Amino acid sequence: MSRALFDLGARLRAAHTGRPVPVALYAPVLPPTNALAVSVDHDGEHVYLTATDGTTTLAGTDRDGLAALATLGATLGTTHRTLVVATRRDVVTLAALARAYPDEPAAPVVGWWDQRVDHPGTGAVHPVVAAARLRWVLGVHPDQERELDTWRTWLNVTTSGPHALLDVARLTASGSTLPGLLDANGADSAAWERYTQRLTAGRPWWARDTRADAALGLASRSHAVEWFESLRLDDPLVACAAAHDGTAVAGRVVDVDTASVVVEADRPLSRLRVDAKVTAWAGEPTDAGGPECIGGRVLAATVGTDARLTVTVGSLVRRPKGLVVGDRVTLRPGRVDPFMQATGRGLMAAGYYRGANWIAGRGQPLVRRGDVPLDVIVAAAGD
Amino acid sequence: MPGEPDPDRRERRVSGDLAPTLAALAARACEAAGTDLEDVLADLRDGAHDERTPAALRAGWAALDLDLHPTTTEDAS
Repeated sequence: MSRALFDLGARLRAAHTGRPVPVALYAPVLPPTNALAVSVDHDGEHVYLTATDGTTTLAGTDRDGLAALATLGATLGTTHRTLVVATRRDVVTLAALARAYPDEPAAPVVGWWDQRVDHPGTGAVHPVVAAARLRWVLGVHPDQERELDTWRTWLNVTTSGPHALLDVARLTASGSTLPGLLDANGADSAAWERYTQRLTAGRPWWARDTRADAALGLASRSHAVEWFESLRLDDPLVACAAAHDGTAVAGRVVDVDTASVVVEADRPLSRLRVDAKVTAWAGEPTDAGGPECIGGRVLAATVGTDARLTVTVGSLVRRPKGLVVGDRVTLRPGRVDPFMQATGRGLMAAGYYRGANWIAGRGQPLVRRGDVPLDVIVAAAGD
Repeated sequence: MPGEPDPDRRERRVSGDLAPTLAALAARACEAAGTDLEDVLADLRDGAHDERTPAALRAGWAALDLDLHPTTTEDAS
């Protein structure tokens, strides 16, 4: 409720000023690379595309639409291009079209975009509406924010069609990019290289993943989600909002020694579970991105009779230098290291092709039982 | 009488310039938080301080006024 009210406050402010209110200090997306913007429309029978690279604009229906994309350069080259679309639904429509005409030169490129769109932070696909919502909130009902035209109006974009997509995308990516997000460029380039190599080796682009590939693809997507969420918490405005849903916990140091630090939270709201890896910066949520002053694991989180929440952080990775009782700190989940994630996936891949791994099609899965947190069960029931 | 809505404020209907769908959403949220949209808007827009305005809502409204400076590549290195 607290987070919903925070968001509502920003929304009411936007309505009051008549201007978008930033919810991120940094651009949450990479500037489009050699962008190709595509307006997608369909009537259930045909798909109508209008595409532009900023200079040339072409339109086509069904196969001709894919041919237009190829003419604009959506082919298997040495470097990838950014697809700019209104929503993720458009990528789904494009992918279905590509599967209907798999021999079109643009089809395998669409197949790659369809894979990358599942990786938050990617620079390969820029869904304009979702990206803009990471940067601003508008003075309208949230449902209206899901419409491209709402964004065109509020951002004073006077162009239309794919040119409007390009203009909104450029505005969203303008200014300082979220620190660390550039790593996504490397991941995109590596993914593009692997993809083109496979196709060059003769694998059809539409071939179904093997079980091992599907498992690795799932891990890759899951890692991207974790990494991007972690990175976003280094944005002060994102951290301010996160302090209202317990993802970031601001408070005051009430005890500190070489083994642990106890923080009394400003409000009894925390998503930092016992045993979770956490880190902290000195100061308030607005100081997000500052140097780490605490790093360790949550040993305890208790609410006292005075309704005050205290979080004890132990298993410290280093002595808390210069930290004294009374200091203000903001706790957050431990940072995700994309290189550790890549190493983890490498180990997973090696495991799939070794011994009797059932994912690789050998043997039977072993049943393992363990405790599952209640909220995970509730979320699964909701699904 | 304490707790009675201010008739003049009701007359002004400060939420009237909100889009109807947003106004309805905001009214429901304020009601759930134990307050009233008109009073909240009067507080936030006009500074008619109202202790019933939820702190989180006030923080969201004020986020635009935070003095923040993006870290540049030079700062980070």
